[in-house]
Amino acid sequence: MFGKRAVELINEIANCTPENLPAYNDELVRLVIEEVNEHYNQMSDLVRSMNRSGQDSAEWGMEHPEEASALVVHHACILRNKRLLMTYVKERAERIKSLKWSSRTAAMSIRPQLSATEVEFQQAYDRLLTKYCRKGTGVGMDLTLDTTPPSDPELSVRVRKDCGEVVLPSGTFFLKKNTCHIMPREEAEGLIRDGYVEALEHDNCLLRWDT
Amino acid sequence: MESEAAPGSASQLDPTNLYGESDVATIKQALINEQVCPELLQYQEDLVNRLESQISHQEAIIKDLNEDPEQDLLRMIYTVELQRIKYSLRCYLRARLKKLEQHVMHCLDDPNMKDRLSDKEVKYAEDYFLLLGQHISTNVLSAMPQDFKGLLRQSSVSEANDTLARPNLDKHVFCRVLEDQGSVEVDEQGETVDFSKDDLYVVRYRPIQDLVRDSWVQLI
Repeated sequence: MFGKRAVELINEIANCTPENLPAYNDELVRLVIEEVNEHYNQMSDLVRSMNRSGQDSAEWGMEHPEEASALVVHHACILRNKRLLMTYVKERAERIKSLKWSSRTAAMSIRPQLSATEVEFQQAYDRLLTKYCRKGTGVGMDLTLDTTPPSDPELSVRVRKDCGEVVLPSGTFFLKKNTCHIMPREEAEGLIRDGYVEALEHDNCLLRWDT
Repeated sequence: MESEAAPGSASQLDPTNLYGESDVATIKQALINEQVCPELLQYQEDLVNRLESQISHQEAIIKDLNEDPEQDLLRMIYTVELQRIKYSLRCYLRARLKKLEQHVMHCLDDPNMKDRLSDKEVKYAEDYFLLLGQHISTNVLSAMPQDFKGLLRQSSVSEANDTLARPNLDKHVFCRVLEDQGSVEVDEQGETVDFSKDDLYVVRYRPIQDLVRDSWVQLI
């Protein structure tokens, strides 16, 4: 009672690292909502007895201090539980969103942890952001790419998974496993994020050979 | 961040602003302002439009150079410059989008804030607000008792919209003074500080809000 359960919900997320998400706790959410309804019923009873007495609220409060304080506590509990539930849902939504920005494979692997409505939210957010990035309806640049300040315009990459022929703006690449390619950083970044290729850190290798 | 393109480079990106700085320097400052400032600032529509047309111009140049292997070095230099600028522009839009999402209800609620957004951002904010609002409604609010179903109000007896997230304007920021300002009031007790050109200060954002808006002061 009195918001303990809802705090548990929040702790569940708080105890998780920022890039992870615990499974949606259906059961606990339901219990918190039940708790809210219970508070509401008790509160309504008190309000009804106040109305029956025919006094105005200040007078009634002076005469029935226990009932009046119970009313205040129930009301505060409802608000608190509501805030906590909203925070729970919102914080989960924030994390789902941040996955979209960091990695597409992670966004897929988190799916089993989500509730049905959250999967819907994830897809809708995906569409919304894609629309904002597209030319015409939006800014015409994929904002999720290019997250680190550029150094070299081109990047050498090694292919981790066979993916056949890939047509990129700079040309066609035949991506066979374990082959190396040099491609524009901007185009490589998307492939790296999806786990098809990995970046080779050329400079570091050279340094190691020298010393 | 790295320094902007060297002044001597045969860049296509060199119209200048009020202080004689190139667009590249301006977008860099706009980006820093936007990243540091707790609230959304005015969208730099002209600047972004100018940069976009210059970017496509430079892309065309690079494409022409592609044909000629002897110009490889030049092409490299153009490409690097272009990528840096694109990066700044994306970062700028990203920083705005992040703050917009954070304070979406506040931004739509207040007509002054709404004026600061670009048309596309307004559309995005509206869609996003609808999406998030609906998500919270189906999961939480629909199960709440009567009188407590509001998204913007805690209960139906609340006097104002009291669940809105608002930017914290009292956050401290580092700033550099661009022009002599005389004494500026920095707190509610009326304490003043002399802002002279090139001074650096750590100060709460609220008192210098107007100075940042009018570009008398830049954030760092």
